Amino acid sequence: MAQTDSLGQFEQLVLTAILTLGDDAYGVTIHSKAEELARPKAVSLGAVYVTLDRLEDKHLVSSWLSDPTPERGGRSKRCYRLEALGERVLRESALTAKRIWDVTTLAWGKEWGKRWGKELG
Amino acid sequence: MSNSGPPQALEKIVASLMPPACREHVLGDLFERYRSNREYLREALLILPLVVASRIRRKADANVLLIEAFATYLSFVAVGWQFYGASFLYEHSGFLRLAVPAVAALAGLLLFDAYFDRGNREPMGPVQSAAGAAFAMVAGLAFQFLLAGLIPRLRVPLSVLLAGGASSALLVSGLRSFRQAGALRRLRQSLECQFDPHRMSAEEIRTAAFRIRTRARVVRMVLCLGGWPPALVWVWAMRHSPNLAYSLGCGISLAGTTYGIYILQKGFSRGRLEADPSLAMCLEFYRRNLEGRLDLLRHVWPRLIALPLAGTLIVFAADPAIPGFWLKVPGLVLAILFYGSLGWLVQSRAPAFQRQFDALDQFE
Repeated sequence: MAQTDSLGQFEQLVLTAILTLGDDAYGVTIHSKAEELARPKAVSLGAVYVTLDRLEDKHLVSSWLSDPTPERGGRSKRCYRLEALGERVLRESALTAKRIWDVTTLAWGKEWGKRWGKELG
Repeated sequence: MSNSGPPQALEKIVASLMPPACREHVLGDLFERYRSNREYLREALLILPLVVASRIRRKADANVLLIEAFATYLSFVAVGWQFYGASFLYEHSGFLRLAVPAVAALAGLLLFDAYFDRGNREPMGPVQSAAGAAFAMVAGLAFQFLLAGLIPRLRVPLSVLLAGGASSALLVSGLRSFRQAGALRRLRQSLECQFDPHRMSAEEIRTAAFRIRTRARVVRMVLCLGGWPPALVWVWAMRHSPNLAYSLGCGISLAGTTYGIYILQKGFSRGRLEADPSLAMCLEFYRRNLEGRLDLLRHVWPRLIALPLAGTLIVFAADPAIPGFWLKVPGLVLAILFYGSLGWLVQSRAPAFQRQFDALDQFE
């Protein structure tokens, strides 16, 4: 099995996008959601495909081809779903991020935390 | 988003460039995001190198690629040496000039794999293997012609290119057919101890232990038969050595090869299995065998690589047929790369053994 203990930031973004999109997770929607999560940074669609391939190799997500639809020129979507291992890894990442947030808020003051909390929505 | 899609001709061009395994969904996504022809083409061209690189990463096996790289390059070098003698390699930058078609051919092989893979995990047949190798060699030769047009110093005689390309294609397709036939996997299984006590019954564990013993015997026999020819080559070279340093290099290599054979024999002779062993005996036998192989892998550099490498380097450095230090450098680098890759190939199996060892600990 591929290594799963070193999850990159972009991989976390894509996993989060798949988690939030549920049954509607495919290239275009994952890219939009990842771009929303990564703002103000721009995200390229190619980078999303590469990351999805890597996550699939690590057995964190699985994919399948849907039926072709006319709005896509008669082509299928490749839909993605979070696997149990992916959920576990994402949960660990979220907990780490939470710990970092708590510690930085403590170090830089609650005002800083509130200000950024509001900006991040 | 616009409902109208890109013009058919434009979509066909993009489709022909996209690897088949991801063509369907990438083209669908691009269709969905279509705004203008210019934007569509720009996005497709930005995506293309990334998806091709991703296909290559998923498809390529670093171990196999390394073997293919050596097979390709050494074929060109051997043909160059055979046709034009050592002076072509040493005095006319032959090592460097022959690296160009070899690297281009390797890139061609990677691209062929990326585009041949349709994502259905079906292995390549011998025809496809041969087609891939032929395509790669044609790509290598074409690139060499193109580059030689721009940099005349890199020109390689046509006879060397054609004969080197043909022998590389034969070697690579042979290697691929060997791999597709599962021979490489079976060889790996013989060298490793394929054993999963968590999923096996007591009887299956016993059978697996006997299988490990039989395979270890076969490996020892193969080592006996296959290990001595290189040793004999060093003996022959020592008898025809032009100076003392050359003889010393041959002697060190010979000692290293002989010691390597002895160490390998020892590594594959761990543990004893009675005629009717208990489950504990089988597990102990398995543990001893794993220990033997792990021990080999941990000490692959000092025990198997160091002496033959040192001897080969001395031979290259002391060879009076190669005049001047700088002319000796390519041969020295090639020797270091060859032995380094060999060590790396062997050591890359260590994590698999360690995992099996850990699994056995948990089982017990």
